[in-house]
Amino acid sequence: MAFNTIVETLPAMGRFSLRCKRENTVAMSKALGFELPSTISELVRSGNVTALKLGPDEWMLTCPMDERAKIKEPLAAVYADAVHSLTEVSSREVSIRVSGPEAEELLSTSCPRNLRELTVGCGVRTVFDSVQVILTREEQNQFRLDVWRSFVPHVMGLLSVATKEFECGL
Amino acid sequence: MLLIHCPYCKEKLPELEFEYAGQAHIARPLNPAEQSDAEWRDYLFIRSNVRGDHAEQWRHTHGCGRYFNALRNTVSDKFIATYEIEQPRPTGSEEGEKSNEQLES
Amino acid sequence: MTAKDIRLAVREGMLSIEHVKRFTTNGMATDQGKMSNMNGLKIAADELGRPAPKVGLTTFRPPYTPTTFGTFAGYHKDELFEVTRKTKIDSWAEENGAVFEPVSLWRRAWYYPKAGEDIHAAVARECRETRASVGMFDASTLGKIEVVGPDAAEFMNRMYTNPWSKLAPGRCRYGLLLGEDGFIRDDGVIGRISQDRFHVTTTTGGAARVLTMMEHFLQTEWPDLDVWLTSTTEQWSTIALNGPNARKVLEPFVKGTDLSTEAFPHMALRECTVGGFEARLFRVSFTGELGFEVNVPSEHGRALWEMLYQEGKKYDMCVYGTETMHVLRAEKGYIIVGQDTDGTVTPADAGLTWAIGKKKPDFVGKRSLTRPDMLLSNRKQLVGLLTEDPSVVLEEGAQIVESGDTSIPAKMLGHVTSSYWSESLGRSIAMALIEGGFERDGKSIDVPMPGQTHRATVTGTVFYDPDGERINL
Repeated sequence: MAFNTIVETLPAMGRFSLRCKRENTVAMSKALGFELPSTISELVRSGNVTALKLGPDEWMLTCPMDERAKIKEPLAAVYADAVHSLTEVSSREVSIRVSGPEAEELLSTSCPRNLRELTVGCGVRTVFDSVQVILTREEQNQFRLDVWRSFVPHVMGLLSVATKEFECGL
Repeated sequence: MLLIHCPYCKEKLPELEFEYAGQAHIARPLNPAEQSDAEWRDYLFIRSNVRGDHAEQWRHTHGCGRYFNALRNTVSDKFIATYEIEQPRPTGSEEGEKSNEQLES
Repeated sequence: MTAKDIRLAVREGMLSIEHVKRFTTNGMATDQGKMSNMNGLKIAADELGRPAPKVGLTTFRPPYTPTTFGTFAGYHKDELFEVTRKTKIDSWAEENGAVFEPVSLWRRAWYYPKAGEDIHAAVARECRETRASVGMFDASTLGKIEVVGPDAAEFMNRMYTNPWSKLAPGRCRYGLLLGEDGFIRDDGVIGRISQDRFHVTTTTGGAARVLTMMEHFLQTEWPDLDVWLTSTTEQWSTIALNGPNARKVLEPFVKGTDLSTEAFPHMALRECTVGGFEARLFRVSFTGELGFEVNVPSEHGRALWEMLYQEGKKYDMCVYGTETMHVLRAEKGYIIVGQDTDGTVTPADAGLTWAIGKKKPDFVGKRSLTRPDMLLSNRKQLVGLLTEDPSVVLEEGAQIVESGDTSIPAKMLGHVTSSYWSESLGRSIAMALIEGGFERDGKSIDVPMPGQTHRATVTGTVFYDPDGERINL
């Protein structure tokens, strides 16, 4: 039985955890040059930079590795007037892309959420077996898992075993 | 799988994303130095052990990461309400004994 | 379990079917009640003189249908049974013959045996070579938390026992974390990167627990503080270099800061580049030798390790694992939380009152330190032990009794928490928690072991270089 789901790790990217109080969100958006998403799970894209709202005062920003200054510099410049926490976590995580018509079903083997409800352009922090991940639906049949580096072998192992089951028609 | 409503994400999500965090509405004394030994002991260790609706903290650890309050019945394990961390316990529900159905004759 | 037993249970006053079950164990065997529940119910109901539906059955618990262990295990078998976390340097360790041990979910290099060496020989050599010249250690598993915001110092003041307001950017300090009950929970070196940014380290096993505890206080007690916490454990690979030649090995790779002892004193930290990688460089030591810890973005850990390893050949540098790390720190009396502490040890018990900010009005656990039991003089206190026979290495966990007490049972005064062969001293050393330990300084105690009782003298916990001169090279 054909099972055409591709699992691949992506190259390194710049990643930042951004935290600030509600009243400073406007200043953050202004400094970055685009409006930060205001609903949890909403992902906003502006050129090469993405921002995903994970919690009431928390965003995960990404950009190409060689463009990290685009995020660091403007935010540092407004710190005195709009205090916030910007912490680089580029090396902390590795992204795994899972794509194909059965990608959602494959991910469901270890993710307890109802993935049908995760619409395109949304991302959430959730759990994959016992591993905390950020799961984003990039396209209808394309997902990205952001996993802390040392947990990647376990996640890849789970995806590999589940893939074999699908290939056997289980 | 038990589904818990996170008041921040505004969604019912699987219990595996959450962690229990103890009895709710126990504020840390503003001036611990002024507490007597008995008062401080009570703050540290004395907790309700209600058979009924229990106000408790939970954390949406593998989610938005926020702590919130919940009213959960300790007999049925049913979540009656969840509410943001600084909100007071919802009225209309009181702690109290709920009789064990099996002992009714 | 027979019908007669059920009738006896009822006669003994077990009127509820739940009590009958627990008194007789009816329903608890391999049938899990599938065959025995109805029969037991009818017999109990007859004896009680009540209709069976009124007596009722015991609470059913899942699974109702027999289920295989394999169903519960799911994917959790073989390599996937549990997560095994490895650092970026782990692969080098594996290729170079390391023996590993599990620490929390991590696997860590325990020792690096050369041909013909057992653990004792390997550890003795690693200790010797580190103190004589230099040793390198993978410290990447230690927890790291970035604490950022204008209220960062205030938050640190409230959480840890130490004062942080006057710690200047570019300096670091050993931090002690208590529970609200006053007992030691965790410790680690904490650096101030800038006015509003702290790099907090925790024990390997405590990383998640400490961050959760911090978030709990921040979100539920102090939401008004402008400070935010981010886990950075896996953002950085951390390499420790310890020994009189540590600076010589490191220097060729460092750009952006002067490593001399005048420019970079003990407990300083600098942002710079090391080996071409962005780095946070700490001058710290868990061995009592001149020491540095280099943090680089985690994916570069192995590359930097290999550069330093090559350079280290000029100085006969060894690589060492967690066992040697444990021995070297014990020689200097540094505690390991969870080994020398067990959740009931206060700063005073462990000789760490120097880490408490005396002028701080409050911090987590402070109020508990003056609870009546916490002030008793016969509390278990952390002391050193030197066995009368220097070749005897006491067993960790061994109980301690009064010298000459051979009664059975003897009053147990405490236990051995850490125990090693010390290559530096040429004899064994140990640490122990003993009732009224501080008052027993210079006196003997006995450690009964199977086959023989060992006598030891109570001492302080610093066995090697008591004046701390070697750290200031």
